Amino acid sequence: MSFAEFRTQYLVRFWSPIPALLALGVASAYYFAITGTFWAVTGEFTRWGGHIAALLGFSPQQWSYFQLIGLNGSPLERIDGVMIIGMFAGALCAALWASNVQLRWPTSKRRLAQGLIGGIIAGFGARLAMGCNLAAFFTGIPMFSLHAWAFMLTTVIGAWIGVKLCLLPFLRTPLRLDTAPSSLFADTAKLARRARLQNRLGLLVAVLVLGFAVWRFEASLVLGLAVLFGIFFGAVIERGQICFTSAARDLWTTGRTRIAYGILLGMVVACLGTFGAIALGATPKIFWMGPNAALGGLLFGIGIVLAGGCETGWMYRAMEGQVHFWVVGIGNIIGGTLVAIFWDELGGALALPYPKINLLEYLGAGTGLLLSLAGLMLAMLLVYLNARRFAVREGLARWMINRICHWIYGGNIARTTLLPPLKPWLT
Amino acid sequence: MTAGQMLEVITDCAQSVNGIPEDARAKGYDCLAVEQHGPLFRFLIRVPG
Repeated sequence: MSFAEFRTQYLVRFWSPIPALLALGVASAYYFAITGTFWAVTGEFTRWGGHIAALLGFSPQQWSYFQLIGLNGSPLERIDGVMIIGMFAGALCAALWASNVQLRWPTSKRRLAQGLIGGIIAGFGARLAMGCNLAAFFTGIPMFSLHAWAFMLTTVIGAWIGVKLCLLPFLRTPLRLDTAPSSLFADTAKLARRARLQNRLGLLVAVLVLGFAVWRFEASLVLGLAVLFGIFFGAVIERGQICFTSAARDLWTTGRTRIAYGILLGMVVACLGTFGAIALGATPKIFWMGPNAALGGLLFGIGIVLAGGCETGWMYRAMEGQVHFWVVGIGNIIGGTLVAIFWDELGGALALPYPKINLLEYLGAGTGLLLSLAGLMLAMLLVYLNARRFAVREGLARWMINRICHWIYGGNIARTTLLPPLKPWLT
Repeated sequence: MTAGQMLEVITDCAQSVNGIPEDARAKGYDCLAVEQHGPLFRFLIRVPG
């Protein structure tokens, strides 16, 4: 395989989301076993909000929320901090090597305001529940913390409310329709120049972030490894276009299944990995099963749909140059920081009086694991049944061939190359 | 649109490579092409005959 073929196959062409999510599930379990913490981002973003508050003259170190999650040192000295820097760099590198970085401005100021408000609501909901689509969902369920189940369920319900809001006439984005084929792709020489430049910039980012990792390895093994894990997480979510918002929202709009299946399967493999790590002595992160988890999930679901992206989604899209998602990210930090400011009232009423339920202790290790896996399987069944609401009716033979082709070829080739000759027998 | 007609969809968000082909197939249309041109993405969808 020549480098050009390798580049087209792996660096430009997007990766199938299901294997990408399986890889993320495995890596997140290793990350937990090695660092002792789970793959998470919003807690660190809230700490960034705390640092900004300190610069403005406040004393966030004394806020009870930061006494809870810690605000020691700088992002460069924290596992979450260096991992996030690795994630941004990994996503940027992946996007540059795919020639997919360009400043993309929002279509309207209204969309931008929607991104900010959605980002604030999502950030607030996430920190209220002590996690986002990672710590209270993708890496929260594999901690066997009951609160993550409440968060996942209510996120999906919140996404339904978000969809209803986004479908209001004044929030719809107009599409440009034309009858002639697009002329946007005429200048191939310009595209080739762009690709060459972005390749070089990608190489530069890779060298810089690897240098950063070496520098962090000098501080400690765990910090250095956290940077490498971050690079992997960031690159894979960009290459697979892993969008949790799409998974939750599209259950209500088109019945899409692929990313939802991928997320659930990723959590299955993550559960097996974290179960092993916990059996060997790692301490899982368990949070309060209070109204904060359910309310947080609901707000998070509404917020991510309004904003168009969740925590991981805005991170890789921001690196692709989508300006809208820079604003969503700022919104997330504001929302998380608001929870930190009002934690005495919020936590005192909605979280702290309630128990932290570790399913492995509450039900016994074996039952806790098996019920978690059964719950994920049930969720997959519900995703499948939900998709049937949106399916068009087709003959049994055609449906079976479509399904078989889809599984073998993963999509488009199947219908275009195999189905036309078979059509006379299928209708 | 009528049978055999073609729809060209252009987006500037890469996530559409996961969504648009899956939606087109689910609704019974043929997704003939998924192309990336730098930061733009092009899909060709045909109404089946």
